[in-house]
Amino acid sequence: MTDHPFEDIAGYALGTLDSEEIRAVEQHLVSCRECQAEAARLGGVVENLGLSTEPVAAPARARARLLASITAAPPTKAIRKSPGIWRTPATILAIAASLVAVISGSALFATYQSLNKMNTELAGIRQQMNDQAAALQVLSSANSKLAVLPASNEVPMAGAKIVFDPAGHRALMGVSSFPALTPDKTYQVWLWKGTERISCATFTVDQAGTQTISIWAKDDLRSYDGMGVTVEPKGGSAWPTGQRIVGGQF
Amino acid sequence: MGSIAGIARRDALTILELPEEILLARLRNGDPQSLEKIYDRYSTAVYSLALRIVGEAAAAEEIVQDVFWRVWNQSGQFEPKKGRFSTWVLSIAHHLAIDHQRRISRRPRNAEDSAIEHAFATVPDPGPPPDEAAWMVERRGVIRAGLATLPVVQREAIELAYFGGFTQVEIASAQSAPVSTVKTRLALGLKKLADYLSLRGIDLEDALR
Repeated sequence: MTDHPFEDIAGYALGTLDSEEIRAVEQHLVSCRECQAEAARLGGVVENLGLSTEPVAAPARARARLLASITAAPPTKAIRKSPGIWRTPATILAIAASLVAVISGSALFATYQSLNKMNTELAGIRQQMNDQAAALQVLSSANSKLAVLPASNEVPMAGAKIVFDPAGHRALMGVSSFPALTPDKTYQVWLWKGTERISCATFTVDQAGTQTISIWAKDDLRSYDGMGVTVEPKGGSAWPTGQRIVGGQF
Repeated sequence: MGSIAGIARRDALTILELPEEILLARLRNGDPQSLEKIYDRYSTAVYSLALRIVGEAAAAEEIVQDVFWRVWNQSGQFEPKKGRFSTWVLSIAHHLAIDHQRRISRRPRNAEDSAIEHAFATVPDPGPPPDEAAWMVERRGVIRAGLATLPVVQREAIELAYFGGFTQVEIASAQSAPVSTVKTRLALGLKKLADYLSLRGIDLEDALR
C-alpha cells in the first residue's frame, strides 16, 4: 500500500520532522498496526544510537561533584496518600499530621513476603518519613509563603496552592479539581528559570482530583521564576509537551 | 528481633553486587550508594554521548551532572516495562545535549566541519573503563559495526539527525540534496541498521516498549 508513510516514520523516530508531519504520522499510527510496529522497531534503533560513541570516561571530579551535591539533597518524591488540599494554616497542619499517621499505620500492618521486599518497604517508609519531616519543616517555617498557581483557561476549575520558603529548597503543592487522567498520562511539575523548565515531580490525582506533592528544588526557590503543571505521557517528559493545567510566576 | 539489624548489615555488605532492579529500588528510596554504582555503570556512556553532541568537555561534564541529578530525583519516572534503564538514562543525556546545542546556537552549518567530525578527530580513545557493563561494550561494537555498513550519505544523515539535532531540511542543506532524498536516506539507513541489529540478536522493540 502506498499510503504507509514509511519514510516519515524514520524521520519521526529520529526527530527530524516538522510539527505538521509529526501530526500526520501520529494520526496514521493510531490506526495502522504495521506502521506502529515499524515505528517501534526504528525507534529501537534510534535508542541504541546513543551507545555508538567512542567511550570516553567522564573526569573524576564530575563524580565527586555529583556525590557532594546529592548528599545535601534527598530525591524528590510525590507523597503517596493525599488527604486533600489545604486552605488555611490550620488545615495545612492537620493534613501534615494525618499524613504522618497514614505512614506509620500502613507500614506496621503490611505483610512482607521476603526480606528483600521488607528491606525495600522499610527504605520507602524511611524516605516517606523524611518527606514528612521536610514537609512539616516547610509548613512550620515562619518564612513560608502560601501562593496560588493560576489555572489555565482550558481547565478553569483546577486549583493549585504551594507553600514554600523562598530561601529554601522544599515546597509543598496541593492540587484540587484536577481532571482524571487516562492510565497512559501523568501530571508533571516544572520549575521555571528563564526559558528552562526543570522537572520536579510527577503525580496522579485521586477520584476527587486532589493530591499533595512534595517538591525539592536544586537551587533556592527564589532563584526560579515560577512553577507549572502539565499533562505528560506516563513516566514524565524531559521537557513540557502537554497541556498546562496550572502555572504562574512566583 | 535480629532481622532489622540483619538487614542493615546485609545492606552495607552487598550493595556492590546488587542487581539493577534492587539498585533502582534503593535509588528511589534515596540511597546515595546506589547512585554511585549507577554512575559508575553509565557515566562513560553518558559523557561520551554528550561530548559527541556538544563537542566540548566542560559542557559535556555539566550534562553528566544534570543527567545524574535527574536520575537521582526522577528515578520514579523510569518504568522497566517501557525499556532498559540504560536507554532511559541515555535518552535524558541525548535530550539535554541536543537542547544545549540548540540553546547556544552553535550548530554547524555543513557536514564537513561539523562538531561531529570535530569530536571524532579530537577525542582520544582511552578504551572502555572497567565499570562499564560487558553487554554495553558488546552492544557498542555491534552498533558501530552496523553503522559502518551503511553508505556514507545514509550514515551521515542519521548522525546529523541524532547527534546534531538537525531537521531533515537542515540535513538537506548540509548534504546539498533535496529533502526527498534525505527522507529516503534516513529511511533506508535506519531500516538497514534495524535489520543488522535484529540479525545480531538485539531486540529493538524491547528498547522502546
